[in-house]
Amino acid sequence: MTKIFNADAYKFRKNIASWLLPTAAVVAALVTAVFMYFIDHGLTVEGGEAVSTLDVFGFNPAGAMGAYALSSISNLFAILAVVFSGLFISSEFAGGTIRNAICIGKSRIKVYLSKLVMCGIMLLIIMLAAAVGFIVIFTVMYGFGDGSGFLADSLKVFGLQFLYHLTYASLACMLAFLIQNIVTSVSVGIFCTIFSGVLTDVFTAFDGLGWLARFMPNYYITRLLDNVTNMGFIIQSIAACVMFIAITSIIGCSVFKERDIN
Amino acid sequence: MSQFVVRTSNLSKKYGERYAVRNVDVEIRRGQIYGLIGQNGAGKTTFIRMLTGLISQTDGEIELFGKSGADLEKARGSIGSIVETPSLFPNMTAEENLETQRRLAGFDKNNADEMLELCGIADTGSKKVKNFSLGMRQRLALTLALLTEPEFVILDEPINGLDPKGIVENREMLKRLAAEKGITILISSHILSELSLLATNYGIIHNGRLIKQLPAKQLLSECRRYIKVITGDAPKTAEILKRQFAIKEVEILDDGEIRVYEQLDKTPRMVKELVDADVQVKSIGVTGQDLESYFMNITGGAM
Repeated sequence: MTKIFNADAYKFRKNIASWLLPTAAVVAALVTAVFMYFIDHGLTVEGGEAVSTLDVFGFNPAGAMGAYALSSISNLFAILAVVFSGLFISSEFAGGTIRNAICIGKSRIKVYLSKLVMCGIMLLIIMLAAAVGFIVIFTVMYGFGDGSGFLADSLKVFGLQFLYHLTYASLACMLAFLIQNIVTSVSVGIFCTIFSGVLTDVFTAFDGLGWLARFMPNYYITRLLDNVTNMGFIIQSIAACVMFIAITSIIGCSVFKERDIN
Repeated sequence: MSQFVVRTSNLSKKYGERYAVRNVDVEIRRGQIYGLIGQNGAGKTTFIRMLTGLISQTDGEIELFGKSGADLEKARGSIGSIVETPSLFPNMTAEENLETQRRLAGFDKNNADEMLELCGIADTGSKKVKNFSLGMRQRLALTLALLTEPEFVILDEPINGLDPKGIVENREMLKRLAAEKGITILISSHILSELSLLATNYGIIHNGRLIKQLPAKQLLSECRRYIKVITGDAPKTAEILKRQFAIKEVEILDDGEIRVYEQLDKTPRMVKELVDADVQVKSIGVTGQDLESYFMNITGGAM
């Protein structure tokens, strides 16, 4: 596993997507934060008091809360994860380089897991870049705010957001291994990302189907800010996401293990 | 240590109802350069894919270095290969491609420069592989296959895209590796003339079946040269040649062509004897079955 991972890490470093995608995330974070700022300063006054956009979005208007803002560009993370897995994994099937590992006897399961880890690392870098972008821009606009407990709060929120979004990376990784074509796997991945969001809303809207929504990562992504101190919610979300990642990985590994490689 | 690098028994691969490879029993011993010959679609690449673990067999057994079953993955660690097209990262340089493979194989020695030099591709610098010619890619793929100093190298159509100079260099390098380092080589090709300059053993595959496995010496003896004689009277001609020259190996084909497998240097005298005996000689000359016609005959079709 170490050798495969070592080679994948080298490929990761040499892949232009490894630089472009985090840059895109930072730009998106900056644009979103600035957008919030301008809306914030053009708000209507209700009862003589300005209503902060950040309050409307549920963020405390201070840089220290930057990590909380990640959910505002949640779909972007999912899409970037899908794009990365397409470029990093499907391209290996398209170019035939996946054969280089298999032909020298590397375990297919280890090859799969190494790629999954790389997708996770890419997602981590993207989210870290975006979080730093949010924190910096919020700090510039509103000041850092109350710094007490900053690290613990931020790590907790960031960690949970990362786990939730890791489900998309895992899904994208599975799709890349199953479909093996860059354009198709990215297209299907983006469709699945959007569809899972819609499906979550549909499940939530209908009585009796709400329990199904709890299996969808999107359910937790959109509700984290309201439940950040709710341990029941957090435990349930962790269980659901771990289950989601495990299921997609088992499907991906099983199919890849048996499938012929052209 | 097994004397066999590869042994397969009843190896088969079925796609739907059609067998791509059927009941193939191949034996490749250490140090051999084994030429796998067959038409396009004969099953060469499918066989190689099974050996390299890219596809699973429908039936049969594979043994590599005496190991089989669950130990195959480990045994494949001693193999270098090119399967069909070169598998390279287009946005990396030649050195970066080699570094990726070196890390993947966990090979400690950094011999990239030496191998690039050996394969005649040392001066590519920062040029990305996507800008390489097909010949350069083929050379790099070969470098990749040899990088980790494997005991067994599998090369599927390795001279595709190489220029004449490259083909010669490639051949000489493989011969040298086999001779100096004792590397066993499996090389598949449909370019028989090239394969005949390299292989020590042959396997002929046709319609998914291994129809013949033979050493190069035996093949050469089977590709015999002969005097081809066409006259107005084949039986009389054969009779005269047998009597006058004590020839035993003579053959009359259905179309009247006579093949004489002995005394190939006596053609002028044979002409004289036949003319003196009032036989009308339409044509006579030394000819022979070259490798291609041998394989055409054996496979019953064009190569």
